[in-house]
Amino acid sequence: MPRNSEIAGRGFVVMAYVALSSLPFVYAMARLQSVTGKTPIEAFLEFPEAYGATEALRFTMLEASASALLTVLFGLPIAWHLGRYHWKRATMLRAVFSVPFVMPAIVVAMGFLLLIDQQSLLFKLGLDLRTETGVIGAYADWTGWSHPGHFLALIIAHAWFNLSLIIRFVEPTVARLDPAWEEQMSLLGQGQSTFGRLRHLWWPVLGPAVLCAASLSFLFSFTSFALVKWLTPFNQTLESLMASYGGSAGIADYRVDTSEIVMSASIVQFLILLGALYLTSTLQRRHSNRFSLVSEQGARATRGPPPFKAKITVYAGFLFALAPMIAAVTASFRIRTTTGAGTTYTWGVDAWNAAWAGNLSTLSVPEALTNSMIFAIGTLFVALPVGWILASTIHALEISNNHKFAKALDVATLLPLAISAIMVGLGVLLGVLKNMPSLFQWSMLPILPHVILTVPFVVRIMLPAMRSVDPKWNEQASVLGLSPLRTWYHGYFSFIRGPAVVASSLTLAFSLGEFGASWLLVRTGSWDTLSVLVDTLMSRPKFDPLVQPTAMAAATVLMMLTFFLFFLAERFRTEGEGGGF
Amino acid sequence: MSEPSVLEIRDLAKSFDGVSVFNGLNLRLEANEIVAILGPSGCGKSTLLRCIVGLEEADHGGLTFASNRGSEGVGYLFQQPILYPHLNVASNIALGFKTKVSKKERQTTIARELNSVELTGFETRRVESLSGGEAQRIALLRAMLGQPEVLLLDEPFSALDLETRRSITAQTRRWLKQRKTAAIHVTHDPEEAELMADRVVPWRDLIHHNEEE
Repeated sequence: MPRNSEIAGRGFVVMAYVALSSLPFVYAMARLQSVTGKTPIEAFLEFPEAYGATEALRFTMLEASASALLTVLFGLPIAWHLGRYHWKRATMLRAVFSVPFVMPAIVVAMGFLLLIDQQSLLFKLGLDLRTETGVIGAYADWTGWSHPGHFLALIIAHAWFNLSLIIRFVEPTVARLDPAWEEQMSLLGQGQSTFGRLRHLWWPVLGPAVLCAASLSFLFSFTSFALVKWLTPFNQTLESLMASYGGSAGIADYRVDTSEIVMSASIVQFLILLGALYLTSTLQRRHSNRFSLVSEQGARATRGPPPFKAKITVYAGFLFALAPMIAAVTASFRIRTTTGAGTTYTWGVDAWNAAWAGNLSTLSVPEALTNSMIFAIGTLFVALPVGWILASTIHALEISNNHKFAKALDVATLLPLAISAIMVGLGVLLGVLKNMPSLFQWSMLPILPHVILTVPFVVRIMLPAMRSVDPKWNEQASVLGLSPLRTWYHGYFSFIRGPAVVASSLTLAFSLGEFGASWLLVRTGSWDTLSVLVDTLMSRPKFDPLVQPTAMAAATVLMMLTFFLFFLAERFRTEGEGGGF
Repeated sequence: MSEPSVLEIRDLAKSFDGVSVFNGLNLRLEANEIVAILGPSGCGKSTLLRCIVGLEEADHGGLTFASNRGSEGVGYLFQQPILYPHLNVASNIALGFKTKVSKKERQTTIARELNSVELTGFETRRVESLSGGEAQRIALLRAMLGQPEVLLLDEPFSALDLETRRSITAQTRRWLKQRKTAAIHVTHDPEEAELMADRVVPWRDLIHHNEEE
């Protein structure tokens, strides 16, 4: 039985987190309400009349649905083959497939722009997604669809970004499902055909995981901003619409129309994302611990090394995952030289030297890296215990049959993902800081949104792991006469140590790559992070040939660090542990 | 004229990573006959069954089935009953139908079969709520729905308590005889082998016999 002090402690953490994560949205709403004089319900009802809102919603739904579908189409075969066979370098493969998810969106956008420009392989193959000539142009003329190339580039970039979601959700289940279940199905009347096995075994086993990953993929594509801004400049999503008008929103007696648009759009976005999160939470619960799982190594050993088809699929995915990163790394060594005779490119480390030295207006990479690490470690120290307590509280509620409370808290921990970054920014700027202006002077302020952003992922990783720990281990340890600490360590912690390392790595990586909130809240250049440095450099006029390569050098450092963190996480991932991410 | 064998195994060999599990194994299974293969754990009994049903490929040797269904006419009962937890008892049993049947026929058949193993009214039960003996009987029903010519039993009752094991072994034998289904039952328990089979073949003798040949 938990002690009263433990219950009170958990209650405090839960309430503090829910308040912290919802305050920016509440503050922003209160501000917009006072400027527009409209209630949230009125703003919601007036959404169809808001300028550009319906078109933005249509485009957002279309691109998010198409992105989720493409993510599943790309990721499922990779996850299937990766989970089914014994791969020699599985740790490295998993790390590579995980890196895209935590890459700063602006770096990804740059990588994809490089992949679709007129020097790229795609262009040479006749697929001009950027200026939409050739096949893409002909298709646009034939269908009357303006900018199908941009749309295609966006959904491919989203699929790349979210690839790790489907792999992380599906691969561990495939890897750990007892092979006897598959053998049994193949011997039964209804399991004789591929379709029969798919219908009666694989879909029930993998369906919730696939839908859960698709739902999250939809959610992240829905709120994507940097990729939309750079890859589909002629279309607006709800997020980019709010960003466009956000600058002039919330100011009394000035452009009330923009405040109305932002208010309507944010409410509609919030409701849609809340629905997606509810679905994700429900599906993830179904996904946990339903089937007989065995040792991952044992299951893999049963199936042996990958056949040729599996190798082709996984290595093609591997190249796809690396392509934008390779493009960015290459671009950091490629220096443009423009003369009267035209433009040529040379190879060199000038940009790396510039990135390492910094200058009067920008930090050097080591300085920005130090800042990023300080924020990341600060975030980890708060987000991991908070996420752990939230996950264990949800699990405690579940095992004490308080399923409604458990589900409500589960969805509440996901809430930050349903709140637009723009709204968080507005909320922090217009609300929280208005009441506590001294916070502006606090250099560690970016840790606050980083914690809000990373806690949902800590919960998503720790909760399935906690659900899968059999209580008999703890009971066994306790009857052996061990101390409470050793009982906890041997009967509980040792089973979730792997997920805890994965959650820590992910938290660090997310914080390192986080851009929007850091950009908004870092008030002095001396606290710029690596991702802010990349953006600052990329936003400069490009007549200086070192601007883009220097930005790419900084982006490369960020990528390498992220990759290292995931590689580390994979080394620590205990056998058979997949986690919710 | 004697009835043809439902299954004939000739000169069968299987090895893993160069280590021989068995070699030159021969066995004839007559129609309606129940053969028990008696041997210690790890001797290769399960591997033999897996080769017969097609889950493992033999290194050499042959399997001849009297029926043209080949290994598709073989039912298999695993050591641990594998019932899918996303389905209830009736839906688990329905997986055994080889052809599409109407909903009414499916319900009638399943109810009749459950009744035959004294599990009447179990259709909507969750599989997690079943005892080991009940789960194994459901798995047996499911395997029999495909009307196999041969049923392979891979120590399916070894995890049950003695009393349940005796009872379910006797019940299974009666059932197989009523349905005129031939079976190979592998076990390490001599009593179970005697109780179940028409003919008991000790594994060692089986291999010894082949070596003599």
